[in-house]
Amino acid sequence: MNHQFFETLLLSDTELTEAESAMLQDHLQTCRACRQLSDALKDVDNLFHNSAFVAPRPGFTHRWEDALAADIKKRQRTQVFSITFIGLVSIAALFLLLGFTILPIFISPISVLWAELFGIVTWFSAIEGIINLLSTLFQAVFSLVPISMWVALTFAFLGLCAVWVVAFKQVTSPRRLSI
Amino acid sequence: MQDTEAVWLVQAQRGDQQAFTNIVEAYQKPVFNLCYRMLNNAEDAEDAAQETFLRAYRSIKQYDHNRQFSTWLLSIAAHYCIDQIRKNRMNIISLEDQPNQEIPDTLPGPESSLSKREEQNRMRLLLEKLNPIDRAAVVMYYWYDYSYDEIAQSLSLSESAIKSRLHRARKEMARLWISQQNKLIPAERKCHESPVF
Repeated sequence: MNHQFFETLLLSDTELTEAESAMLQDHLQTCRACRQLSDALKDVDNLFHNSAFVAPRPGFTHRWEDALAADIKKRQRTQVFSITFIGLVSIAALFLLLGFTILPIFISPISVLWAELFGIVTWFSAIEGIINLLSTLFQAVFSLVPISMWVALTFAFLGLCAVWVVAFKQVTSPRRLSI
Repeated sequence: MQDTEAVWLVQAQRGDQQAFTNIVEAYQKPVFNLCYRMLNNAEDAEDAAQETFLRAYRSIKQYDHNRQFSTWLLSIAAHYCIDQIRKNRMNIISLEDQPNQEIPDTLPGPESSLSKREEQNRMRLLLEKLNPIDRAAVVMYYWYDYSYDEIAQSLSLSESAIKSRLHRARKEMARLWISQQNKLIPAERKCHESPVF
């Protein structure tokens, strides 16, 4: 067997079986390198296990309280700075936007006024166009349907309305609702 | 202690600063020790321990009561120290080149003796050869008697990864110990040898 196997046994944290332990002891008697490793591991384990905890200088908690107070102050300052910075940037952005909108008025007010006037005229023309279209459509439909048909349609519509009103009253009457 | 600690934790999670101060008082030693063993420097360890408690205070509301508090706290300390070591490595200054750091003299009598200092120095040399994560695992293994599972939880690694890291680290330290012994023996021989030979 090679050293690797015995090294694994030496470094193992679990308890070795009797056979493994015997095998390891036999090997350690003949192998100097593994014996050295075994001794070194024991020494290192002892060194670490026997070493006590190192404590901080007295007054650690007071220093921590001071550090916490300083940290809270610093975080508050950072928050105030961040909010102020974001506010200023937003205001600057708004002013910039406003500037871009207002700037043409200052550069050439007449052309801006003309553009606005043109916009209003365009809106009026659009509305007029829609009205013309609707009136043409209405006239066309009116000329296609004869007057007798109009009368019949009107009566039919009125009849439907009456049926709807009666039906609505029947459905929403208190007696019917109580059932 | 466990009940009192649980009460402090609940109060601290509700924003009670005094309750958290009690926690700092109770855990300052284990946290400082971990930082000291990781960073090999009392000043850095003090800063790291303070920062650990500040971070713990900031995220105390996220602490899960099903988890052991000490594991959670030492996990914060270990991760912070690992980051610090990695940052310091950027400076490429070996700790061996630095003057020997004195351990805070908190232990009276024999602990302050020369042999103890020598032991601490040898321990420091062994630890500094390990990579930061292995170092943290070794410190938790020897000083805190943590199980593999607890170390794995603290370092956000799997249990098998911790086992193999500890196996490798202990072997590395044993080999280093042997080489230290070999260096010491010829030096001792030289002292006792006659100049004639």
